[in-house]
Amino acid sequence: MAESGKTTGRYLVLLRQDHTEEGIQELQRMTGASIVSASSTSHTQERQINTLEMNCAVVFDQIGVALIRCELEVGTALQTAAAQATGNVLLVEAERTVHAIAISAASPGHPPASDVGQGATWGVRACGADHADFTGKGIRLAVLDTGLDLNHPDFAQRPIQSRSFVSGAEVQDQNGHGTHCAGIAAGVLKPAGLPRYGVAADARLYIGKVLGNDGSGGDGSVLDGIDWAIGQGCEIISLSLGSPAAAGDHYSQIFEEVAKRALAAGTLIIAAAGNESRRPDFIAPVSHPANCPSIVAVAALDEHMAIAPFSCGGLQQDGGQVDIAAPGVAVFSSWPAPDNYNTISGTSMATPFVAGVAALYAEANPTARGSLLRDQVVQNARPLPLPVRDVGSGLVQAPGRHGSVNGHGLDN
Amino acid sequence: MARIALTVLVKETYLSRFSVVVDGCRREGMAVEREMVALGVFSGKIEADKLTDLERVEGVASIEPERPLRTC
Repeated sequence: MAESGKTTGRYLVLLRQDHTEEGIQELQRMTGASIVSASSTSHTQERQINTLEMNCAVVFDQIGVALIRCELEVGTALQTAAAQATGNVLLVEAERTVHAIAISAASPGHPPASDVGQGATWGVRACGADHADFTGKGIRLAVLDTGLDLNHPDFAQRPIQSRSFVSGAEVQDQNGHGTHCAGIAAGVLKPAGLPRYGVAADARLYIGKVLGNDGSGGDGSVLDGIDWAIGQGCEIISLSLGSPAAAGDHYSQIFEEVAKRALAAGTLIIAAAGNESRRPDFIAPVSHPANCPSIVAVAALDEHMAIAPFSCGGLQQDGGQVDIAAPGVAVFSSWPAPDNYNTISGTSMATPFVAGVAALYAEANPTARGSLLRDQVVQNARPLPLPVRDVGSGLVQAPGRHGSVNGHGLDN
Repeated sequence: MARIALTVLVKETYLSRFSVVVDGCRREGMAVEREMVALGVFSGKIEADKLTDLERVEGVASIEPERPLRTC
């Protein structure tokens, strides 16, 4: 998620989902640019992108985004047209120089300076998991993501259930994202020579690979993973994934119904709010499926308790709100070999903090399941002096000694 | 005709007859790829011009085109 703030002289154009063809035609009409599709081979695609000429655009069909090189005044006109939000061109941004998440780490394998010499990472300390009496013992926690490095030294001895829902791909994580998220939710109490980075060390992990090693997937594989996790009796499902929503988009009726059925079965679904904001200039709405009313939407905070610049905001009512916030900037956790550990950022990282804390509440109160568990997690957050739009009820907080939070019992 | 990926939600009242709804959609030309019985949801592909036929299958609550999802 690191970005330098530099722009490249090119523009990213977000087209309306499922109306990409119409969006391309609209873009062509507005700019007169010559447009090619990027759905050819990756080599050709890379060459097209790197050598993009003036008044030319490449369209990424799968994500409904076009990259266009054009004169400043054309780019400005595009932004004005998109701001009216009446057509199939939803959003125009000057392209920024960005680094891939894995590259953004200052020192893969080693904790960031703020965690050095500490018993636990800043994230574990911020949510109070290091002072909790609970470790998620007996609670089944599903992480549906890119899989897990099953040979990782911190996981190799753990009883882990796993299954791949991606055709032709093993559970073994070759991306890193899934291993990082699983570590935050349920990493070991005492990793050798390192600060504790996991919240619910004794939770039983259920790893569902629903995203390929390229980090992408679709509704079908995620629903398949949710179905499996419910069938396995998981109390909590952590979804560090999403699809950007446009202003005015209605939430998915299918995911909402699925989330309601999950709650009725005693399973709470927690999902990332999304990384599409570019604060302070632009706040994007909460992504799908976190924008469903019955799914807990999680925003990302940095260690100074400021909202992360990329964290989506609760711009829409009826499910589009942010419910809670958690550490999501410079988060140290597990990573596949050879590095074994990495420090990355995203609402993806904030989500398993909430999932791990939910496992602690579930252990503390065996009757708290489904919507009751959601209420305990959300209502016991620590309020922050930030807009509810950005952080919901505030910073997620683990149940403290003997199940108390902020001086309140768990039954309130 | 382009084939589109989609997700189908089964009505609550038809959950005990899940396979009947799946078979009904198959008869309308849907290639069912995933059946999530506990959720009452199944997914697959169909030719775009047959979508409206699918909506008329008894027990179908709603149909949505599949969205691409990514890590956040």
